Amino acid sequence: MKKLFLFLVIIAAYLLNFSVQDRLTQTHKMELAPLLPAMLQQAALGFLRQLGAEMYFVNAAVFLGTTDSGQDPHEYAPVLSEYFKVASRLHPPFLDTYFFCQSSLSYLGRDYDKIVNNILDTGIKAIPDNWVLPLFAGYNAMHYLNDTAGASDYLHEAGTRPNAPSWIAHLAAILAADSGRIQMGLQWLETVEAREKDETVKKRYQMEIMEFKKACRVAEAIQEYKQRLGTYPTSLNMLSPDFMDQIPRFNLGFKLDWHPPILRLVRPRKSLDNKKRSS
Amino acid sequence: MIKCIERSLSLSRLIVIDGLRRHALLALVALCLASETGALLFFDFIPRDIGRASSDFVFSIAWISGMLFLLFHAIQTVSWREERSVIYTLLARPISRNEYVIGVFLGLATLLFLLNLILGVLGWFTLIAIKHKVLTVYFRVLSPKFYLLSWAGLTAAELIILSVIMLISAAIRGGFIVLLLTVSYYFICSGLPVAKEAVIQGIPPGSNSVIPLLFKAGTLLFPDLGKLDFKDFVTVTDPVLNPVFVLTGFTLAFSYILMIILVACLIYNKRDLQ
Repeated sequence: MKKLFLFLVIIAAYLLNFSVQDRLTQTHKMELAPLLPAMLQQAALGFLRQLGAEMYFVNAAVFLGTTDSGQDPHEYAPVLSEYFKVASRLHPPFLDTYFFCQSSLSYLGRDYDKIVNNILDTGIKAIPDNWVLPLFAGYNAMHYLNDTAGASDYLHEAGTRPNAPSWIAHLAAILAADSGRIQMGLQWLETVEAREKDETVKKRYQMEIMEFKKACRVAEAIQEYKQRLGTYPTSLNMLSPDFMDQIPRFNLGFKLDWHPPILRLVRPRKSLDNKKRSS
Repeated sequence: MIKCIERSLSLSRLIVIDGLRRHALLALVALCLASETGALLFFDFIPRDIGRASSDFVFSIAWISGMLFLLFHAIQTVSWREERSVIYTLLARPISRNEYVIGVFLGLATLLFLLNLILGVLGWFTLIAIKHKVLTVYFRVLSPKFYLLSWAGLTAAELIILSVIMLISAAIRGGFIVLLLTVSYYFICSGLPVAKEAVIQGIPPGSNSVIPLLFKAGTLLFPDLGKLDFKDFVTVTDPVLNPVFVLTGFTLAFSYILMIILVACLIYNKRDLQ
């Protein structure tokens, strides 16, 4: 009888502890635990490294699902970025890591954009037939980091991959010219034009190629000016009439932007103010 | 020579029957079946790369099962302790120590192969089921050729570890110590390529450092089991894999196993079993 009573007391104590813990768990928010470095995990997991990466991804994805809309993402972003970094190191070809990384971290600021692009670089190298990852990286470089040269390189890489839409390679050429690499942009644009099958679009590309060639002639004139006089012209008007007859006019929204020593062919974007005014 | 082979095969049959009698295979298959059923739930957490994640899960479960088999059943079978006098019983028969080593290895290898065969078939049907449940874009390809290659690589890696278990058991008495040393061996094999990569990155190019050579020598004794890991190719469209690389990997594994078994035979011949 005594033993039965003791047994029942122990069971009751266990059930009481269980209900208290359960109540505490419900109010306790899920947190991501800091991870060991990827290299250490790679050594420890061995053959199971891919499953380990997928488990870390699932952990991060479930965590993101439990966050409140009012919660500051900067609170958990450092640990979350570590999860994506480790998952991408352990299993580079696993695509979901990069999609979630892009969607959850890229809008948080320049520092995180650099981290996201570093992580995306791993995926770009590991999955050579995927054009979406270099597109993500190019978008981050263009929109968040204001790095048009880096953006054009990423988009060019995306454009060369199988099944990539042609507008990506076209945008890469435009951004190359925007960053001062007009000759490179021209070569890329000519490649895009050669591959284009739609005649209307092809005609548009041919018109843009004309604009690029005009810009290249200006760039050549600048180099000739530099060679002869030992310095860059402070204004493009100084090139005329000795180095070129006149500075060409540009159509299709293009214009030259000269800040020595970089000549850019830019197509200014419509500002938000203009959009608001028109609406 | 033929008699030697017959005796070794007879012993290996005994080991297989003993393993089946102890439900070693059945228990592991049941464990895997339950785990692979979990794969049907696991892929729900993966939004896009479902094919890859499911395939990784199936192979990882198989690897865990294989390691459980090796670390618990194989070591228990091979290790000799005072209270376990099977080895004396067997060697009292007209069977040489070399035949004993080869027979036990073949028996355990057969059990391992049977385990992987059953798990391979179960895994294949699991993956087919998952593939039919999701859209093609999330599970584009399931290559039977690379699926078989991945299983062959997994089996080869497990056989390497089995041969090392034979070697360690030959040298050291006691199951627990053999288990610890086997686990250490596995971690060294996994960690050495990672450490090598990390150290080489820190060495300036063109320097005459001896360290890369030391690491290379290390991988002679502790082979990189990752070179037999082909599971990344099972769900990839147009995988590019050098056949020479594959052949070299398997040939190296086979020759490593032969070498280790030979050394194990030498140790058994020299050791006093009392």
